[in-house]
Amino acid sequence: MGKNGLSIKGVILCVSLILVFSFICACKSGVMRSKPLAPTIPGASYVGDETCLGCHEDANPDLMGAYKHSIHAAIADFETTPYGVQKGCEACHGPGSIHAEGGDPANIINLKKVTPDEASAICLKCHKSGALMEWQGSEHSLNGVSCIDCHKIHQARSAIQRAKAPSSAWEREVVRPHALIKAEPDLCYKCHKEIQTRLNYTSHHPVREGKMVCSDCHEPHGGPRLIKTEGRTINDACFTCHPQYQGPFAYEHDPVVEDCTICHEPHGTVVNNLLKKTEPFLCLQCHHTHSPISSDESVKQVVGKKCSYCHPEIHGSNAAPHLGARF
Amino acid sequence: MKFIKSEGRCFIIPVCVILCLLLVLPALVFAEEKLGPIEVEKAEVKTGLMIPTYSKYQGKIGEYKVFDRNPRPTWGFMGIGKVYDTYFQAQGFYEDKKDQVYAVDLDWRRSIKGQFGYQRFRHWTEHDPLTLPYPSIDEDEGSNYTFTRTLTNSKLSLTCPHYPNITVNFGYREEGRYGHRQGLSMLGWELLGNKKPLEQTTRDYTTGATLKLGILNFEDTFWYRTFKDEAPGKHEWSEPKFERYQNTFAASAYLPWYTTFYANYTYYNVDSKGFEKVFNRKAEINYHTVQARVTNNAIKNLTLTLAYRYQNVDNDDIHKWYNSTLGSSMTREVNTWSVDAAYRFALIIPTTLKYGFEWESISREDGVLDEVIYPKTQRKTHRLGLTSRIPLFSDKKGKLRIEWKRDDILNPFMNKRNWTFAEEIGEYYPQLTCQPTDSDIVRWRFGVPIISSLELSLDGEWGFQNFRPVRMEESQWKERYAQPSITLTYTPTTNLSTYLSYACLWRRTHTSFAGSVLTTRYVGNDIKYKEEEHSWTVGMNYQMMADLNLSGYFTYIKQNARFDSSKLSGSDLDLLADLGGLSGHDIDTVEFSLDCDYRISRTLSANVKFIYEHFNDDMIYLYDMDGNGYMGLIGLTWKPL
Repeated sequence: MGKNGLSIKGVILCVSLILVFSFICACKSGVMRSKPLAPTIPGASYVGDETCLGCHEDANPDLMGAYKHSIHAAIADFETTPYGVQKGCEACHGPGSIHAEGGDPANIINLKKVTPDEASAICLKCHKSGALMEWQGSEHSLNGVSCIDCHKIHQARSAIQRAKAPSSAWEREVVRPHALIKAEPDLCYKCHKEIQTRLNYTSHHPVREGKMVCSDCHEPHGGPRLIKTEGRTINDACFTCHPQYQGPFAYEHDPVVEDCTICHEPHGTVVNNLLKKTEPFLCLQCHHTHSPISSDESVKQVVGKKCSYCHPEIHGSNAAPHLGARF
Repeated sequence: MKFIKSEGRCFIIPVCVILCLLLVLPALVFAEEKLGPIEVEKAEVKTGLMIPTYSKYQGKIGEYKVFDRNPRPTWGFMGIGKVYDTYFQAQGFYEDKKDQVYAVDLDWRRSIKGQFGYQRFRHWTEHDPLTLPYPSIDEDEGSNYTFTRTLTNSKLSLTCPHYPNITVNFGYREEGRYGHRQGLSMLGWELLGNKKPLEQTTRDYTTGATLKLGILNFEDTFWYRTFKDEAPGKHEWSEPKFERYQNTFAASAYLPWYTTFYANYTYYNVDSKGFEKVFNRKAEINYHTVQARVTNNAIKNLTLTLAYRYQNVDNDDIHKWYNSTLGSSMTREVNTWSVDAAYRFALIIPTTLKYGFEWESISREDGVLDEVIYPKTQRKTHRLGLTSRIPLFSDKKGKLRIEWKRDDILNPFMNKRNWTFAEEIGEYYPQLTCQPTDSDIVRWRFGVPIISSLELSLDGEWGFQNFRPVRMEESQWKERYAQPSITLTYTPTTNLSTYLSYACLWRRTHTSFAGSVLTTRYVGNDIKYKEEEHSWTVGMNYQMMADLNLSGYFTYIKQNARFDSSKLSGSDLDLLADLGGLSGHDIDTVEFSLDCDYRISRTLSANVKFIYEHFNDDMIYLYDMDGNGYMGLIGLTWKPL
């Protein structure tokens, strides 16, 4: 371990002590959870969709109309069997017999009125595979974001809301809305305004043109730093669409194999090619010297504009140690 | 498809047979049942006329848009419904032969689900005319460089109702980049620009299965990728070509005591065929990672998470060209531990308090630093956050989020080549890096309804990053930035919504500059980088009448970035003192969009759009990219049902 480093044993010991201490305190003070995380209605039994629709089809015609065309209305019996969940309205809202008798809203589960953890736990009864395996303890989950903050459970499969006028001809052509409250990226901008600002800069990925969406790179349900790495490195997320830089190359540029974001800001920059800083400043941060720089004004014109005039293979090369292209 | 002919035939045929069997098996389950009726939930056909035009240069205003074409028709369609027991959804939009998007979803009794998509768009890239007072030739003067990016994506998942616990998945993805971009090279001491063709194709084949067994879930995914550039005239040493195999196994479990467990193991291998062609030996990357996470909710309102991740990247076939005993910077071992706690309470208002600690150690293979002072990178990260929802009106809540992130990094990534020289001559020279040893970032978000129809949102990020030198004579680097924004949303009536926002970014970066490491020591000369952006946006959505909707926005952005090396004037680095003026940016952009929808009848509606884009850089960098783009669109949508 380094001078300032913690030992692994030390970390484990500290964490274990905190956990044991928290557990003892919690037991003593009676704050331990005693009911399932996904809320239920005690004493109620399942009555079936017909009973629910008997009242709600007239009371909430738009909602019910949307629900009938939603993905939830289409699910088959065998899909809920492995989870022991009743199909239909009561799968999410809990058994409705008591609510059906008295009509009291307190006797039915409303996902908007339970805590974010409880709301998500209801969805996680069925949605357990894929990226959702990682939901518990993920960045969004810890920050109190629940499934219904982004998804509408009654959303018709064809419905989508767009927040602004399109900036290109095809931007409004939303493909696969995934029952989202709003289409990406407007949905994500609700909370990530700083990213919206960056995507407005001159050099950007084509997100605001509607040709990419946030979830092409990000995994909102989990994963390290919510990047779509599927257990791999951050660079691997970039290599999904930029595989030409994967290598391995005989002559590497160290920051390229370390982390693409040392030189690039993926959300947007003033400088072309998503570079964080203009050349040659970007390069001068790590390369303070260069032998061919001379008092010759013409050489300065080249060096002062772009280092990559002479080092175009900056992402790696099998030909030139100094990452310059050759003929 | 050369791949199938040469390398893939041995396993493509059995995979096809298995696929056919899997498609047929679920169908047999329903063989006795009656087929359902035909239903159309939504159907629409649209057509229109796009009239684009531009002045000056189109590459910047239309990097991903089309302003340089003649007026042309566009068309699109959408269909959603059921054909017997198959739910389908089909969408498409055709703007030009290079700009199209299509998607088809099929769902047969929830047993066979398929998603197929295709899109292509054009990306305009730079063409530097090389107008330098240095010997340079542009061999392809006057031509425009663009390439078309195409993406085909198919996913198929199969679940047999008799075995609902098992789902099998298949996927195919093909991405292409076809066109040209500028190639630059040095011929002797002469700079040469020419047309570089691109014919890059990436093919991804995936297959996997999910198994659900009570509280346990398992998932395994195998991924095979090929990448090659088949552009004509490529030299063997400039041919990036590789194959990649990856397998990910993941498991999760819902355990007693409100505990969930998640773990995965990933292995991949990248085999560079391009390298092999040049050097007649293999170059492979092997990667292993194991990660595990335990989350517990046993204590009311408290979520505790403990996670561990191990990564091993092995790029042993590559060594530093200037020192064959040094391994690749990619080769490393990473251990990451983290613990997070989120506590939700509601003393006055519902609030979440979150604290997280992460510790990471990176052992690198290029271990020359072992003999100097820095064998490992170690990072400690603390994150403290508070999120609150403040009930102000019956139907609206204020939102507050503040997060502070602190990184403390020992031996961040740096230019090690300097250390190699330093080692040779037995002295330590300046560390060269743009990575911090300590970093503080604060993010905030405060949204509050001032009155029921007016909402104010204050968001932002502030950062201070600093490289703390260990030795007095070492180089320094630091960066400060602030990025606040304010948004006002005004909804006076249910049919009118407007918004006004201002955002800015202010960033200053300093790097202390040294000359040649072999002749000059760090002398404390700073080069400063200044970056400022200001953006203003105003937008609205107005439902003027039941059949008429109007929406639009206007955005103006001022962006400025340049560096100042004047402090080097008079020093032995005087030659670099006026470099800062050569690559600055002083950019204004305008984006305006107005969209009008009118419903003519129950089945027919019309749409008129106007888009304007403007780009102007007062400090011409490389060449004049100023331009204005205009686009008018007139469309008709027919919904027969």
